[in-house]
Amino acid sequence: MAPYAFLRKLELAGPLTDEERSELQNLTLDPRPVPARQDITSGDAADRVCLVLSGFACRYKVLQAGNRRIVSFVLPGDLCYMHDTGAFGRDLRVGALTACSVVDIPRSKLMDLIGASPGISRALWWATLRELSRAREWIVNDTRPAEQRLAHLLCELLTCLQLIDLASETGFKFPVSQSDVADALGISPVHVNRVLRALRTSELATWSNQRITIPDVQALKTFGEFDPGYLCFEGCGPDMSMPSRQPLLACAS
Amino acid sequence: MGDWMINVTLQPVVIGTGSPDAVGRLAYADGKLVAVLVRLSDELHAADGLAGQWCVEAGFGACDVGVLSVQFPGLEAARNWIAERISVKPLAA
Repeated sequence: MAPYAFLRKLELAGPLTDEERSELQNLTLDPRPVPARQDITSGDAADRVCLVLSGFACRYKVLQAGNRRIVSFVLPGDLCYMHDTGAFGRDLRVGALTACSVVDIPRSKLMDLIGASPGISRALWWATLRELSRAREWIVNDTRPAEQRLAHLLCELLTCLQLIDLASETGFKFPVSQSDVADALGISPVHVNRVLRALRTSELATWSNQRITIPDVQALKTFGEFDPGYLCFEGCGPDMSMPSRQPLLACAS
Repeated sequence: MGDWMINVTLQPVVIGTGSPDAVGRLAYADGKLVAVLVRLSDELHAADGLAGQWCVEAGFGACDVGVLSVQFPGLEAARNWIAERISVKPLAA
């Protein structure tokens, strides 16, 4: 299971050869546990890239006044610090929201693979574009009223978790705290209570026992103005190969 | 300017938050609106232990706290906090 999410996502960028798939799988062989509420790296992380294999994490910053802002969630199969080659990127921290399993990939190893394998190069380029695209969408989402903002976030999580088989048609396990959601939406934890109540009363979504349930997914998408295009599931664009239709049995171990 | 010189008044108000958190106060410092306080309702906040506390729903000038959740056990604590903020960053003329 461990490398499944990683490969599943990267193959959205285009087909990988068996050799490329095998090289990527080999990167995931030595995971380490990270307890909830800890940063997934400490000290100088410039020489490695982190791959989250399981659990929920987040990219975040903390302001001097104490406000934490989560700028994106990190889900299984996501890379962190991929382009952190200079001090400019170190202000962004990555923290485990739940217990996580994380692999440290030597940056040099990843660079070698990018140089040697067109498929891996394309896949990691795609992952970069996707992060940029998502960051733009989050900025825009901040303009929406809080109820819509949460609706949009839930739709994003549902879509991304479905891709890696961690969500059903109508819901997913979401074992983070309300404060985490508040910091991801840029609203106060107090206001999250009201927003959740509003979505529950409107029968758009409920969050109980660490599970999000969405009775009518299309209604929530419409309400949150959610269009999954920014998640780049359609690959890198018309000039590059479309996603592989091959089954992923080779990596689903 | 010391705290004692700032006159903070709290005027009861009903806030249309679209939720049970409707009991509020308009906080004036020397006659100027500087914050809207809201009492956290039992219905919404009992589970996280915040029911009955007062928080800054909106702040202006020195009382603008962004999205930081600032809470007080009672209105006197809120009044003191406002006076302290204004004393650090006095109201413009």
